[in-house]
Amino acid sequence: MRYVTGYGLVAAAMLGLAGVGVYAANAPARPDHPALRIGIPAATTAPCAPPAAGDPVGAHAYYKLIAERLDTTVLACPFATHSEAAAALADGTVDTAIIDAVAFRPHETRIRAILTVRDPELLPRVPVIAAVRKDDRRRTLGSLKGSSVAFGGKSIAYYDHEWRALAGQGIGKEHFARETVAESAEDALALVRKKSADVALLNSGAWRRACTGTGTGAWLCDDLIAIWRGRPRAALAIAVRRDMVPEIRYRFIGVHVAMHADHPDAFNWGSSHLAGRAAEFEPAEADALILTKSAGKTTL
Amino acid sequence: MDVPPLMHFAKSACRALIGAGVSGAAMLLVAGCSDAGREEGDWRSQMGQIRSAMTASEEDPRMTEGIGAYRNYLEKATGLPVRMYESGSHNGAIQALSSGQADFVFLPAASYANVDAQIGDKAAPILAVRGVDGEMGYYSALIVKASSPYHRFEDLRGKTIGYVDFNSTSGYLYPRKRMREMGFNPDNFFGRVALAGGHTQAVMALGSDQFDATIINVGGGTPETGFTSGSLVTLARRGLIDLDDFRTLLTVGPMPQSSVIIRTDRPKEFQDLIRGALAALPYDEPDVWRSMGRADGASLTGVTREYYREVIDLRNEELVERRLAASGQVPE
Repeated sequence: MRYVTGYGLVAAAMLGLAGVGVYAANAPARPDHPALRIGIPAATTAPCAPPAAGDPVGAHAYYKLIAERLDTTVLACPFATHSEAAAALADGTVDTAIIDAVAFRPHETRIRAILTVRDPELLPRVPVIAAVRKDDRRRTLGSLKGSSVAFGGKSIAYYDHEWRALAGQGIGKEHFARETVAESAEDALALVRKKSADVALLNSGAWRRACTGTGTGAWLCDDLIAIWRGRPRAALAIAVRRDMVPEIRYRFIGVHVAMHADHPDAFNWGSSHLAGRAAEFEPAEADALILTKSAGKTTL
Repeated sequence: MDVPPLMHFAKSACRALIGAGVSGAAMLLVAGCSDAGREEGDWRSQMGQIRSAMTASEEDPRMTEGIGAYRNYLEKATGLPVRMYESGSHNGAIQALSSGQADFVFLPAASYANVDAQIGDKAAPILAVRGVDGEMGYYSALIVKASSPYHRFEDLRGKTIGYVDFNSTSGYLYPRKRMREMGFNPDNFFGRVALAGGHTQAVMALGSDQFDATIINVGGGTPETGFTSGSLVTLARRGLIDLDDFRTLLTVGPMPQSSVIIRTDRPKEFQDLIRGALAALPYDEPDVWRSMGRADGASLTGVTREYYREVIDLRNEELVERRLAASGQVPE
């Protein structure tokens, strides 16, 4: 079974008549390839092919939706490992792939993340701010090893989310010598100001609330500096080549971010490769799968 | 004009088949060109340009300061010139969309309900704002001057209330719903009703004693955490008012966030592209996102008409109430 529309039908038929293997997974990358080749995690790596009759209903719904909305033929390209998928993506033998951070790293100059999924139990990937006193000369998360850290509370938004962001940078609890959980974001910043803590970690909303005054142009944190700002790293993401035409990338994202609401069957199957539970597809920044430039260097 | 690489081959194939004078079975293939007739960049040719409208007073007049960078982003994403119209009120944007003079707009929920009443499924919400704490709603606050004798909502009986706009979710629709829930009929509880035209104007009018109370949007928090955005805080930050000069008597919410409303009679390619480009904006271009007055960490999430069902129903109820009030049929 294959999902094609208009031009795709003709293109596929012509390729067939010409004796060219339209579903050949290792065909040379061509910028004018008529099909969208979607890399999907599978038990074994196999050549790109049209969705099989025995595929789940959700798979057919997903491929059919993409084919219709991007006005193209869709081929499914199974990969047993994320590394194989990332390499194929970088080589241009597939157009999208689901990959993790390890697989992403060797190809990060050629490929980028575009979509991940939002866990219904967690905050979205809201940025986290690490703030120190301006007179503190440490300007990286790495340089804060052995320091004391303050959080604005013990809740998901004020504690778990911040640790999630740090974990994505390879930083665990052992990185800090001491941790203090304050009553509020303001209290966490106060601990830094009076040198009872070296760094405060707050989600960007809390940072803004704590630092925004109500007087003229008031910014209450001039004595502090945000040395790092980063979203929790995505565990898995749908990636594309960095040179993918913007229109295709945005239309692909556009179809996905609405999928949970308008095509739940397709969403359930499509998101299942990224997480066990997902509320929706969430766009991702290009570097969502890598350590931000921050882990060892100054970013702000 | 840019044509997506994925489509190049297929379009060339169509032209080649047709040009070669196909016959027999191949005719079936030509039928595959049924959406043929379309030229390169077809949806772009249909659109010609992209037109949108922004309401300056929605939350922060400075929202439109980032309009240049926002327009550049959209032009790069779509490959079409983008014309942005700045409207002084929600109604301007509503009418622009409803009449087809705008292709998509950012509007508060109640304004979408107005559009829905006018043109139904010719427009649809595609994205709604998700706040920095992951919340999908915001609040409104009923405020009075701190120097006034009003300390409870009940003190405002017979006084002048300044609503923002009939099409405002936080400045009209939800507060009136809350008043009814509290046992007060907003149509005869107040002595006089006025419309300020915008949240900022509402605060300024209250400050100059044109109203005894007004209702404005507040955000960036909850009643428990306090609010850090909205017209009151924004004006205070610019030194135009002092927060201590005002008192909040009532907060209402959360209520559904503003959304991107798009004309559904535009090409599907365009609708998907706009949805994708706007959803990606906070992640790919956070500086542009912030320059539009949006909070760092806030984002846009996919929604459908169902998300606004309650607002649509509320607005319909409001219209009935107003008609009854106009005919003198509203009991105390």
